[in-house]
Amino acid sequence: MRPFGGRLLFLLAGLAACSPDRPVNLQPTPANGDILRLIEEIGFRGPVAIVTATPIEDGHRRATKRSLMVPPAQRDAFGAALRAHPAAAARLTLALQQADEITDPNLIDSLNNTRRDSLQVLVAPSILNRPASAGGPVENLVQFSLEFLDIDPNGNIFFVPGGDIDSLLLMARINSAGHYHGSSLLEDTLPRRVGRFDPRTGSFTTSFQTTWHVPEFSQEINHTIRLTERGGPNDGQTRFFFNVFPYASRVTGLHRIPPGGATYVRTGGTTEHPEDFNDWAVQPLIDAIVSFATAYNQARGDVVRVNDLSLFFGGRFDVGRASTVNGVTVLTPCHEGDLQSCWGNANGHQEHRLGTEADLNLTTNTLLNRAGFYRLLLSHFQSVYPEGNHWHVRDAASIYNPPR
Amino acid sequence: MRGPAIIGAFLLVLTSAARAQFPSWYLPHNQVQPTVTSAVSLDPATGDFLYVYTVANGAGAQQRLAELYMDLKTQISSATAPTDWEVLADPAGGTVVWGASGPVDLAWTELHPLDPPSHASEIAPGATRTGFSLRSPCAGTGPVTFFARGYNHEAQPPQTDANADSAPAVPQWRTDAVSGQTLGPGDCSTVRDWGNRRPGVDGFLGVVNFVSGDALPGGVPVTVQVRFSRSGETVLPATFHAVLNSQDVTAQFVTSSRGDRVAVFPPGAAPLKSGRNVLLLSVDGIVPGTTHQATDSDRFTFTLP
Repeated sequence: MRPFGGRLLFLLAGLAACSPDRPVNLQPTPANGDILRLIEEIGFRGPVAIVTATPIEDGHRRATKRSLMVPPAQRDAFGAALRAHPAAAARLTLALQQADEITDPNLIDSLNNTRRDSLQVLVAPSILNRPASAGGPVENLVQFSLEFLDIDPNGNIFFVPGGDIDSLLLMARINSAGHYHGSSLLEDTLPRRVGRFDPRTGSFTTSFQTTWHVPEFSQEINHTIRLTERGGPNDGQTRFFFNVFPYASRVTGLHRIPPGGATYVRTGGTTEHPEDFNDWAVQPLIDAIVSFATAYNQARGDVVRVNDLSLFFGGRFDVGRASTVNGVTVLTPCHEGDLQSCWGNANGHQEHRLGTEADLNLTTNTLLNRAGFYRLLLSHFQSVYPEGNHWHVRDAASIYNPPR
Repeated sequence: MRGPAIIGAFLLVLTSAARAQFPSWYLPHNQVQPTVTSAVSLDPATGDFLYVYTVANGAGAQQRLAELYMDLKTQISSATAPTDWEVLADPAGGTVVWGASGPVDLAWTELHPLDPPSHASEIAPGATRTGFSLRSPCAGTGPVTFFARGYNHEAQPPQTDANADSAPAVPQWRTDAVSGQTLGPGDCSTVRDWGNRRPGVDGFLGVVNFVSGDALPGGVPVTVQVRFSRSGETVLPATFHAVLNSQDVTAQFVTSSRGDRVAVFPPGAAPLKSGRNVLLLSVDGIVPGTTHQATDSDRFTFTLP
């Protein structure tokens, strides 16, 4: 059983059952004081964390977004409050600026991934091996400011004046973003997989500031907070909050290469990274592969094997761990429970993060086919080199291309 | 019967070697000294432009010339290669590649199972091959870029430390080639100059491959590609008339596979001349929205060194 994944599904299912409203995402306005009054109006009487998140991607600050977190045990009550006070709930919903339903063309695994409009935070994965010629390593960040509401013994809602953050925990959503592996608790919370908060604990007055260092992997991620209040009517009491809708690190805008038919076949899928999710790329690379495969097939009658491109939400693709023994390179594929071959200790794919590189191979390796394959690779792609038992190619947009 | 093919002059093209820094493990392909000469004519069967290239590898080259790539921005009708060479081309355009083929060099041994072979037909230092050709409905609109590469094994990047996070700095292949420019088909999807006489009839006729007043390169054939009917106007092709520097050259124009009127004028010979050249083109058509016949007469100029 997957302990956190199972719990998450249960919680989301519970929320969906209790609340017909969409996720509680707040725009930068209204102010937190207005949120307190709106929550009073819907009649909810329970602790609430107000989360203000500001993503910083490649050094550029993006729009701040606010959202609410409630204790898992209070979710039903929150939903009931919304239903019991429809007018106030409507005003709250309006204030929260719910996004319209948007069909995310990349959302091909809806059981394990959330639509873009239902995410509390969406940020691009970090790329720690980005070459200097492309700007150097980039670690994306999300700055969080946390404020808390609680109910005093008289039933009045108030701002928690201060307290201790005992823990901030990040947990991967199992099977999200095409990674069908890593369901153990250790792997669920692995910093290389989910990133890290800095600081993770600490005392605060009024609000707690922390920064999420975004991982290189695309993942859907959940967040818990354990708070001990200091000062105020509930001094010394502990509260536990869970985000009701997840954060995500994702590369957006990738497309799946269509089925090849006579000229190429899609291959390379594994249990850990299934075939439906391992051959996504930017459209120019897809166009180049299709054109290349057509030309090669016409010239030689052979079929191109299209192996890994990128996962459907991009990010680091931990295909396995390569090692060289006595001059022979061996790949130990990533598999469930093998931390050495998954989640960052693997060097099988250093690229394949942004949909701009592909692994291609011929089917029938004759000298004649080999020469034609190679020349057509050069005529269709910017960089080409042999990598183990296949060719690695880069699109013109690849950040891994050295400057000309 | 189409008009006679007109053979253009040869063109000597300078090349430049890339000065990239390659990783120590990398095996370069740019140790060649290519010279590409070109000739352009009209294919009597189709009226399309026929570009024929001759490739030489300088005596000081360190490698045999094994591949010639040409970046094109237009479609081609067909391509050919000399004996024991092959051409791989996409009719929709892109990069055309000619590569040595035929018997594999007996001295060659493979470095790894993907290593492309070396062929006996590669152009040795000091040698020349001809017969590399392209056929296209498009005239030249300017020089096209080629990349010549010598034979070398394809090196595998070394396997880095098991925990390494760096991607191999494999150079872009065009950096590892000797590039140059030569004649070739350009983008002929749009007309570059419809003339400037009368709005109602200017769409009868236009020049595809240069703009009036352009300075064209010397020592190479001047190609002219004329297109009719900008917006679907009714044009009477039989009335087409062309005068170059006061000499009637109508008969030198033929109809290409895409319906354009095309001609090639050899350099250094009348009616071309050094300095300003004047090309008068005209055709009759029906003025849009009327039944009146009118003539679109346009005057295009170009200069030659």
